[in-house]
Amino acid sequence: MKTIDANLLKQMYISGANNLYNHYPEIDQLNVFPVPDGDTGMNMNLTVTSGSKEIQNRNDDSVSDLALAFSKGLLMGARGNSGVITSQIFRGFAKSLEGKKEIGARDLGNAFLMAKDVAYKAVMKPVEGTILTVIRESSAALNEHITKDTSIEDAMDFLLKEAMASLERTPDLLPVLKEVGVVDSGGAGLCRLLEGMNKAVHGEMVQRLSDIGSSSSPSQAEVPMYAGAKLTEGEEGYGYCTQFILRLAEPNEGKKVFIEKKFRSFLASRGKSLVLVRDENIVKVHVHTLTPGNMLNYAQNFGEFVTITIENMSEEHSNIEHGLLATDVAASLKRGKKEPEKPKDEEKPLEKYAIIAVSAGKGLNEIFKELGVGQIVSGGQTMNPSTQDFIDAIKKSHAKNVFIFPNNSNIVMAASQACDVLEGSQTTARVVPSKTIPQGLVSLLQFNSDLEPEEVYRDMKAALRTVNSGSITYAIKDTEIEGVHITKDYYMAMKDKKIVSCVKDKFEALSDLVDSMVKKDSAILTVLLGEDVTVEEEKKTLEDLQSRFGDQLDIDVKRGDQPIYSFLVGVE
Amino acid sequence: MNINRKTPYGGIAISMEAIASVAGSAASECYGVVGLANKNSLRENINELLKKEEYIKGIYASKSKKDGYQVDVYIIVAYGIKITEVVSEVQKKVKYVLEKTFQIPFNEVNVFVRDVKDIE
Repeated sequence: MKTIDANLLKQMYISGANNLYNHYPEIDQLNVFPVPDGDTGMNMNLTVTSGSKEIQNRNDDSVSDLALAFSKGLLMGARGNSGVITSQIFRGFAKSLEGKKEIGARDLGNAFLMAKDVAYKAVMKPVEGTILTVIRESSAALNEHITKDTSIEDAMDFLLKEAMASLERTPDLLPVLKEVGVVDSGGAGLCRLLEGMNKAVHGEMVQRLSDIGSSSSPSQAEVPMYAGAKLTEGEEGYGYCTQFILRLAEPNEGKKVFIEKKFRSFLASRGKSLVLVRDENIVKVHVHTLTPGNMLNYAQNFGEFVTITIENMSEEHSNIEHGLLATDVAASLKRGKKEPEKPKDEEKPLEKYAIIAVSAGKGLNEIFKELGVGQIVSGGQTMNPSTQDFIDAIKKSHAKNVFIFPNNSNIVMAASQACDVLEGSQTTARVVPSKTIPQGLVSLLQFNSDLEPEEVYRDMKAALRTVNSGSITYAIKDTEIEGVHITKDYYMAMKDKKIVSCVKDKFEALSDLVDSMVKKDSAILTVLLGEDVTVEEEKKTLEDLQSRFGDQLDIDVKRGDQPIYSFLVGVE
Repeated sequence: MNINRKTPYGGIAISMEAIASVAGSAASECYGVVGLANKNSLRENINELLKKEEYIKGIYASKSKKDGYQVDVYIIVAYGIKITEVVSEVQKKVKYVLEKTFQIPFNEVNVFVRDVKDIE
């Protein structure tokens, strides 16, 4: 045979896909790189099957069109790392065949070279000892081998032989393979694919075997458990991995009107790992549920199914040793993200000013609200809000000028980033870099809506410096910091970020702290009580402080109900 | 930010640079990733590929809300490949490599695709 025409190429693709399918469980077993989650075979199989489905019913008369269709099918169905690489290999292959009706051995060699080129282009740091190595070495060898008399059979035989040889060498290139004693799984997948294609050239189409799966893996015991097995442990309970594609009905077909939000919340309330994608009148759903039937019944209210796949994940799980999830690693499911809420009050005119403060605790929130804060972003030590939280809050406050009080040094960055993001929009957001709650409170007092934004900002920022802040919290472990011995569950008094003392009694800590903070020119002492302070303790605090500092300072004790910190202290 | 741990023999501090370098190398090895991008390029809109020494600019690690850490990865991907798959592979790989290297749980790997580059 001297040429490959469209019909033969189609058979090669389908035979290759079938051969891969027949061997995918053993490829799963080889999977240790890049992440040993045992799904390479499955992913490659799904990818290639998607390609072969695409061409199944085509009757092209040029290899160009057929190869293009196959590569498109691969691209759309690509799953996993090796699946993506496979799709690139065949994209390159198709590119080289562009405009050709049939190809000879020389064209075939060039096509595999192009396949390699395209596959390599999409990665910055190609890792050798993988599927990439296999396609590179085998395509290069093939090109040297081909002369003008080479037949297609000979070329494919040679390519397969070289690919196998290259696969055998992968452990020498990638240490992790050697360590475990396997060849690369993606490379093995490619070899199976080429093997199937080769058989088709020799006139024996590979058919799908029916009993693939759990039983056909004698090598299972030899495959070592790898650290990554731990990754998937403790995921949600199993159930049925349910995937379906729904074609939504036209309005006149008597079906219910599809409202995505409702649909999503229905599914989400009854299943886990929901991924829902809608493209005009096609909806694709992936969900893990214990009751797939209910979901399907519900979905059918809105249209008819195009495809349905339901797999019992518990079965799948027990088929594979060491707790590996073969098909669906939960990571790939986390793509489904909620759409951001849209601000409803778009049409209202903008306020001149709005203030956002970060705070935690009921009392503190109220205190901030009394001082004119419009939006509270909840957060503080150990629970930092994200930039997105700030962006949402800024949008919600719907004002021309927004001031943000992060009230914690760790949060200043996130807040500033939110301001950067919104630069150029109708809102000018500024961060008043308050590092503690007392700083934020004092600075807020300087707010004067009659002034221009610049002046307000300057005044508030200046006020930050007039405050000394301190806090009292409990220690979570024994340690020693800056010469102060810390004992677990004792109370630490901290002035700014420095530890003043660590004692068993919180009042003693408070008194140490106030001692260290009060200076000659101090005038006001503010104490915010945490959620762990009782009413009696509150009284005692006030009395203690009055008796010691009453004649020197104005003392203000308020309930902040903040978590973690028993007391927050500000001295002006 | 440093990640600090105490052991009976003394303390271990892991710097952001170390995390960034490991996470950056892992991400850039992933298929379909053209390179890392600057996380602060929102304003300038310049998405230049970062060099190995600059990976810190494309990675942001922080303490996550749960027990553990989270890391943000800013990448540029190649045109013509299935981005969802590439991104989920990056998540898997970065999480795996970080946890294997540092023995610290990373609960979240947030991947930001900053640009899609036509590589042909």
